[in-house]
Amino acid sequence: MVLKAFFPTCCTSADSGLLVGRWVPEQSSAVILAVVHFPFIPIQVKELLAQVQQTSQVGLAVLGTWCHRRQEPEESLGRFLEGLGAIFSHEPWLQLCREKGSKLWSCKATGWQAPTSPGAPSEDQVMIIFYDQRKVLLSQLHPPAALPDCQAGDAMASATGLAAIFDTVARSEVLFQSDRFDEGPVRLSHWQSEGVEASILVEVAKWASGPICLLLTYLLSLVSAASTCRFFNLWPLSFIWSKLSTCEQLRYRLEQLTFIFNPQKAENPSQLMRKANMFVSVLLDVALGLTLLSWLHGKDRIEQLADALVPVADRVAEELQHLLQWLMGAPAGLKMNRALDQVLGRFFLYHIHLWISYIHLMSPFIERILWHMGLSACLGLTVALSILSDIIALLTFHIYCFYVYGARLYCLKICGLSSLWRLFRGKKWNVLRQRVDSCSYDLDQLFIGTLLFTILVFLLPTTALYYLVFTLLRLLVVTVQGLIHLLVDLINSLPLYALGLRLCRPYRLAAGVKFRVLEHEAGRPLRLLMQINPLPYGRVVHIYRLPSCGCHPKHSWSSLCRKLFFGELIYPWRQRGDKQD
Amino acid sequence: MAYRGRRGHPRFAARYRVNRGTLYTYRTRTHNICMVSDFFYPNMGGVESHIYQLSQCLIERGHKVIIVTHAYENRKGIRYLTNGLKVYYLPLKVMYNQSTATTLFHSLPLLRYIFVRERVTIIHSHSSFSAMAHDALFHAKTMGLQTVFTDHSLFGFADVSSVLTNKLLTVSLCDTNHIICVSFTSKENTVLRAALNPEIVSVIPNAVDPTDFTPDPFRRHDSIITIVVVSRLVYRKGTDLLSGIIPELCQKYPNLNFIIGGEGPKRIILEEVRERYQLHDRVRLLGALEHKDVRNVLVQGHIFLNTSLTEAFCMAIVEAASCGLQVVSTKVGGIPEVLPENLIILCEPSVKSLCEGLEKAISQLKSGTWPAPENIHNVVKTFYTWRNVAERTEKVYDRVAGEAVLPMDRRLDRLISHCGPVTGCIFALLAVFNFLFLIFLRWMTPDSVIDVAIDATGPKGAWTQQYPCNKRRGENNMMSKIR
Amino acid sequence: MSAEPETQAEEIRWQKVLYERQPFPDNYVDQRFLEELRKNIHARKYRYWAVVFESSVVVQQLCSVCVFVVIWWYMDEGLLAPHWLFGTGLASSLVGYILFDLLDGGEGRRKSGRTRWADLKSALVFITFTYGFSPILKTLTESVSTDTIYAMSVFMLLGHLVFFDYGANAAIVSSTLSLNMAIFASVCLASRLPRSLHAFIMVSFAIQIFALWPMLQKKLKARTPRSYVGVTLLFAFSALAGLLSISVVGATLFALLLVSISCLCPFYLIRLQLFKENIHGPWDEAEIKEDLSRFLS
Repeated sequence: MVLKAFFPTCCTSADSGLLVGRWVPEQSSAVILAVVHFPFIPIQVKELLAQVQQTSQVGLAVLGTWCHRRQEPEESLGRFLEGLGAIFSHEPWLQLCREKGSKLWSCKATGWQAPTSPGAPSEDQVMIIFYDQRKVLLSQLHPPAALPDCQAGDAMASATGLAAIFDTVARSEVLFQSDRFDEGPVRLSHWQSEGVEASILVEVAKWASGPICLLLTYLLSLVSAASTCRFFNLWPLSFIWSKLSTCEQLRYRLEQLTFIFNPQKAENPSQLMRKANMFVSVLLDVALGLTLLSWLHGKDRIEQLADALVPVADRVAEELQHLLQWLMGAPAGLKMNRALDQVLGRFFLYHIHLWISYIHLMSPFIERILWHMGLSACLGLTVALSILSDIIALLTFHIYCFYVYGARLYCLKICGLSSLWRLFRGKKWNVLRQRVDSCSYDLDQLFIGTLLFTILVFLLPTTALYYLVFTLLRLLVVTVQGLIHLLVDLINSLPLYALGLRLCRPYRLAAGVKFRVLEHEAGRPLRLLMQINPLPYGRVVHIYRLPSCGCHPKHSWSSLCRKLFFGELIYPWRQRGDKQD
Repeated sequence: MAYRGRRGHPRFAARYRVNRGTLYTYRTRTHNICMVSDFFYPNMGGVESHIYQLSQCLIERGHKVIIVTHAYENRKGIRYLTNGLKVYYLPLKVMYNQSTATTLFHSLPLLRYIFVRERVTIIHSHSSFSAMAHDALFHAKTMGLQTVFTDHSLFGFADVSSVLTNKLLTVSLCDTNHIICVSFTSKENTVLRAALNPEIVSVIPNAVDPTDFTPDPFRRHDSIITIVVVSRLVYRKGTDLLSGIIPELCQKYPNLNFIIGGEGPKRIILEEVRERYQLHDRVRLLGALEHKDVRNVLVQGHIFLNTSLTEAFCMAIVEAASCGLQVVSTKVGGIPEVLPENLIILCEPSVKSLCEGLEKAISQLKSGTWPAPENIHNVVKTFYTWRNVAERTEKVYDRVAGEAVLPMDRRLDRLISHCGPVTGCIFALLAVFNFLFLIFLRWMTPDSVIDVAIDATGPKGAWTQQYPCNKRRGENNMMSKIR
Repeated sequence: MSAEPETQAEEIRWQKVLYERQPFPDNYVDQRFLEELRKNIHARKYRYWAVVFESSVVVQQLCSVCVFVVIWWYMDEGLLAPHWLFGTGLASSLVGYILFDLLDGGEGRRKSGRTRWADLKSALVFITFTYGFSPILKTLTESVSTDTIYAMSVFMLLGHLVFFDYGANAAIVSSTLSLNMAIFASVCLASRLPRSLHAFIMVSFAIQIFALWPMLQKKLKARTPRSYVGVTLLFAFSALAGLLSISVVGATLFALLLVSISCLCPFYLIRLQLFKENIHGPWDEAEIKEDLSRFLS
């Protein structure tokens, strides 16, 4: 196996010294984290390493020596470095050397694969891989969902190997906190964050965020306690809550806020990411909502809206009346049963009449109601949209009623017809065996069955037409509501923070790495530059998608069509899918 | 050919030994045979195992054999089985009961390509239920190849459907070179159905592998008598009779058990009987059995019951007898020819007669007049072997190879004169169309363009050359069933 | 197997067995080939008049359909008062009911265990439901075109005739389906009548002629064949007379149909029987002759 030495790019120009890092035996790779410069006292180096090891849980060790020959070759230094191997015993002992100029590198690994002859150099088996310490430290590696593209050298470091390296670098963050300019006992050379001292504001924010979070959490818990109050869970109310999408959205919003202001520290990066995503999405939502609010409350728009709303509802009812009158005639030359047609038509007309009177009763209050509803936009655009959806549902309640009546009648007919058709053929449905058996009926059973069958067959077209028309209307309303819910869902679940991160700092979300060959000469170690492959946008969305309140249609298209055909109710105002999370 | 009956003549026996010795040497005349049938592994049944075992024995005897069948789900393309037996799974639509749909023409391009690239000389079709087999016969005659057909089933003459199918069989077989039937009854039936000259119909029985069906008397309990039934539970296999026998006998003999293996639409009536007479502990319904499990079921019983209403050659009773069971069977079809009278109790196909037969078997069992299973096995194992079947089939091939295939004009004459004026003319027309189609195909891709397939089987085959030791080892497990 | 030229082939007799290897070639054809072939073992000899007698069931059913259509036509034209039809129907039903019990001296009733109360209940159910539904029936097919209704009725009545249980043991026979199709046709036709009372009476008449009358016929045929022939003739002539009053051509065609069914068809059956050649042998699928249902009932 080829020995791989991962060397940080920031250390290429460092002075000669010791290589500190971690040895990963499974991958036979040495991850070099820092260079300790001369002069040092071996005991202090060891102490430092032990200290770091204790905090970061990474097995750090001195891996070898680093020799940067700025001047003419110094024989004595080389020998001295070789001698260090005796003090910090490690197998294999790396001897990395940079010649004058930047082109020439050499690397020796002793005690590697040749325990019998420890002095035998085996340079061709070492490979130096440069990596950007900052990027690797900050980036989060995502295990490949599918097989990664086979790039040159990708096969060398398998996914687990990569993960080990990323993990090593990420965990030894403690090591990087020591400052280059500190006059400590040991001088290290590694990547350093430049802006840590400058971010006083960040520190203040961190310091202040704790109490604020506590306070908000307390308030939120009060609200949620109020919402779980027993009064609200009484039967009719709880039923209504479960049907109103506004309530769903508010509950979801409450959950979001509770999650965001949870004072506990996020345990892992994914949870942190989730928190951030949620925070950004709530912020955006509220911002959009406030924009809407300002737009609504300026220039009497509420008033105009209220004035428009009642005529629209009236208009819808009127159109429905026309439709019913058309149905009560002979629509499209269909063979309808006149008597049944009249009965059904009158029944529905009476409903519309009731509805119109209700709307007119309501009309003086509509403006006030709208004004108050408009205020809710400050809770976010999604809440406002949910309220809109609920208003649509309320305003089309008559259509819903018609649909239910039609579907019930139609379903009854279809069921009756199917069982009477079996009777007509002299068969029956055997419930125990789940199959159709032949059966001998009595004469009177046959007679009544056939009589009913005939009647139902001739009445079916009438019912079916009413059912069809009202189902189409209902589907229209459901589609509009579905679109609104889709929008709400989009705002709720889009991982905006992660997307922004991907856009501005592509290396933070790593899908894998690629290697670029820097130098490939016979007799010299292969030098590669490791670069981070950013995660594709599709996968970012897929991985960090926030759990929404679950408005996904539960059934497939075919089952929906089946339900429609047999007149089963596609029941609710919204299709209540299985709730995620 | 070897005459190796129990009253074996020493002269013949000696000759047989010589034959065996030269088994793997070069034969003077080898054939390139193509077996065609809709029924092949992974489907399991009598026809399937017949084709497989016959092919293996023919390969052993130095012939080149390929098998053509239709694709089974994702098993498509070309597969190789033991000893380089090549199987073509063709992408043809299955219509009903694993049989492909036929238009008489659509399979010609594929089949012609296979026949040409494999240098086939003899087409051997199996089963009259297989549309593909008939298609292949039709195309082979158009291409001027020798044809052989094996009929595995019996047909009546009474109802409308059999009138139609018999007519089609007449057309299909009227210019086929040779027909093989599995029993004398089947031969009579086929000769009548297809209006054939009985001289071109040979009787070659099926065989079973006796090493797969060995007795194991310790597996059965001697305190109770167990009757075993292994068949598909359908009307033709007489499941209705079985539903009458079970209550009759169970009431009479308290220490009698039934084990029933197999699945089918009539299973429900057996379950009803079992429920009605409270026989859950005495009648075991095992459901569908794999072929490899059949022996393990058989050896658990003392008596094997076969209630078939029609049967060309009943493999099940031979398997049962080979396991040392007493066989009680209905006397239908070719069953009386299969086993000697001292090994089988034949009954009329009625509940009463079958019950009497079973009672006779039980009393023989109790009195101990029945021979030991081991003895029965030793007798039965000499009856039917696949090597014998292959030798006899080879004789048919030799004979067929010497015959001339009817040229197109004579073939049309024969179709018109032999199949009646209407059907004959229709099929003569179809034959002409088929011929024109073939000419068109030959023009599109001439035979010379089609490359020759590598021969895997046979003494010079790729398989044998690549794995020279395999062949020697293969001798022993030659008869092993495909899994 | 290969026949040895000098063996004692004459001495060894060929056996029809597979388990022994015999010194004959595989395609050997013995003297005994096809000796088990039988012909026409199940063929039945028919007597002309017996077949004619049996054909009367078909004639009866044809006449029933004919009478029904004729009565409907009369009602539709207003030539027949519904009360009169109802009275006649009721009276003939009562007569038939009494006759039904008298014919076998109440034996059938005892066997089936059906009480008179059940009969009365059935009759009540018929009348109540038909009467209750008759206004609906009246308006049921208003918007459907008359031709559609006629086509449907013809189709249903033909179906009734096809599926009717004439006593043949065939898969197609289904007396339930047959009766249901007749009732469907009668409801369709009744809905065309001018008033709901008409519809009610038409449907009840349909029950009498399609459901009750065949039951009585069956009993008559079994008990008193002689009177059955008389009744059939009477019925056929009355149907013809009724049809004659509507259409002469129709009546002629119908008479020809009846004659061909009752006289010509039996004649042809017996003539063609001579040409029957049914082959039987050991290859035939065995028939189960016993009644196995006793094990399951």
